[in-house]
Amino acid sequence: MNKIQANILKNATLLFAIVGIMALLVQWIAAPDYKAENEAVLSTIANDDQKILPLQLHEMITTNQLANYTLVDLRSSHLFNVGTLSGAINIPFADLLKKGSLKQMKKHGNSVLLFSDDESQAVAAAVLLISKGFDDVKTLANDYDYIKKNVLETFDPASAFSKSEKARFDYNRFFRTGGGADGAPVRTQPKIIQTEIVKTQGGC
Amino acid sequence: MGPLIPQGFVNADLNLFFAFIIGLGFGYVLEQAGFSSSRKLAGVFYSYDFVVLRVFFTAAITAMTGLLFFGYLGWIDWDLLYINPTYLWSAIIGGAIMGFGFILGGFCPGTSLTAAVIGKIDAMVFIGGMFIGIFIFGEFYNAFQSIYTGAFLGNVFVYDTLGISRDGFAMLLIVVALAAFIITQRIEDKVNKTPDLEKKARPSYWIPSAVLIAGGLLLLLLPSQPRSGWHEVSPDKILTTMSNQHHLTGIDEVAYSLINGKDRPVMLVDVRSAEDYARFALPGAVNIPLHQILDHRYENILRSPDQKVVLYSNSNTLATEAWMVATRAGIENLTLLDGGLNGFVQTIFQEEHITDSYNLNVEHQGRFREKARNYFLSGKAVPKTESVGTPVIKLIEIEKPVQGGC
Repeated sequence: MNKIQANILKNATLLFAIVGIMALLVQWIAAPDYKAENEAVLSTIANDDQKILPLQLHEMITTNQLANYTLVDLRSSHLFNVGTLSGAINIPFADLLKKGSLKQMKKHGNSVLLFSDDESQAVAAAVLLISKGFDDVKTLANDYDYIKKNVLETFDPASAFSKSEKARFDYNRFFRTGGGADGAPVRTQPKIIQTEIVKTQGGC
Repeated sequence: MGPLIPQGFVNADLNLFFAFIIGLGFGYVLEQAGFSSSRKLAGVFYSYDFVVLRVFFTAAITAMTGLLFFGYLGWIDWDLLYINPTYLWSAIIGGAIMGFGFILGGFCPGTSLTAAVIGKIDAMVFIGGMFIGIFIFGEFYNAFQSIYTGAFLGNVFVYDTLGISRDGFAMLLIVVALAAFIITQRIEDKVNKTPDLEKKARPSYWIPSAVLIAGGLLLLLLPSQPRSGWHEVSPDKILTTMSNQHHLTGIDEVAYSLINGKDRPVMLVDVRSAEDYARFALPGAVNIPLHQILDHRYENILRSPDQKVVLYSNSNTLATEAWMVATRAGIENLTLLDGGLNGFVQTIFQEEHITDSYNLNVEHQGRFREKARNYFLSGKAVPKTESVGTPVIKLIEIEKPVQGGC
């Protein structure tokens, strides 16, 4: 190999290295501050065992298991002062990711129990904390007022497995098809999904 | 065109075009390396010219390092890469036949084409021989079949068999390659009896070697996947959006869209399980269960540019989980139905509607909801866009091949 080709090789490898380093720098700088991959967070929440149903909460209270968790009330400070779960700290939802808040929540290691006056807000907080590296995050199913009435005051067995995602109606009754009064379920017309099979192949 | 087509960067119809361009590039590189000369090619067997080894080893470690970095940065999805399956007997016997032919003829399949194209007659004869071999194989396939498909080990990776990590193997291969370059150079010099003056005039390759070794070390140090991608949305932005409730779509808006489909089209995505979806779904909704929300196949649906995409479930909870994961992945302008199906039925069908009020807004809302209630109950909830034909969503599914090779 002569001088010119050697120079081309040298310049090409340097260029390769520079592009690689710049890509890594962009990745390092532009990447937001998460401690867990999105896919990992998804499989954690898809398992659905973070939600503590009223029956489980009742058991946890009677066996004093709640002491193992940092209890976090996500409601406003006003509501918190009116009444909350005993031993809970108040971190309004909007302040969840502040440094001080995260520090407060680490009291019991990575074990946090969240609740709010909106079940979906507690779940949202849980997703954020899981992606920030907390690996033992639980939420209370249902909103605080429901829990107060059916678990904290006196346990109502009828509420044992209640949660927001339970279907409260037979939806088909309301979206009828032609005629109206016969109550037949509507055959919904989803868009047609065509799957195009792309074969990956190798070669040499 | 490997991973680029399934990920939607490149139109699938351009597949052959890219194959053509890459083929041109490959032929050019082979020719530039001098591989259309059978003397240069056969040199690797007689130890006087190891250019074949050097070129292919360099190509292999460059491609390997590049692929591993691209995979780390998320530019390539390894699941979409084709891996040659391992058939032991085919590999050993076929390799021996090819090596024998290489020494005799001085070409291998690819290089024979580049040489034939520039007019070398021995290369053309070589190609003729290749076709005879292919013909014999095809005609007498039944005799060969058991050997050809024998000892199938699956898509094994050499680092798995050796029991070391993938990045460890990459580093090992780089070191072995560099050692091979040095050793073969020494052998070449001995065989060709290169004068010392010429040896001294050779340029030093320490820069490329250093870059490769640094690359290998970096691969060893980096985790296999970064914990967050540069294209992802920060947690603070998600928190702010949710605190301001900008991620919610109201029931009235969805009801309006179901009644007057063409006017303000909304793409409804049901994130519940397939069973729940089959039992009931809002008219025109598509089902993407929560655990599949990040699936590449559905990305185009969630990123619909000309429609508002609204996720829904029975309440806010499941839809919120789906919304958060999809939004973090970089999908913009996603919203969810505030109240879910429970809230929808409660608001439209169960509540008393105020159709007469001094507050015009309240009155309009009440009248609208009353109208919506009657509309759905009387069974008119079929999307008006039906008249323009049911829209078709194309998903691209990658079928992993069972056999392959060259």
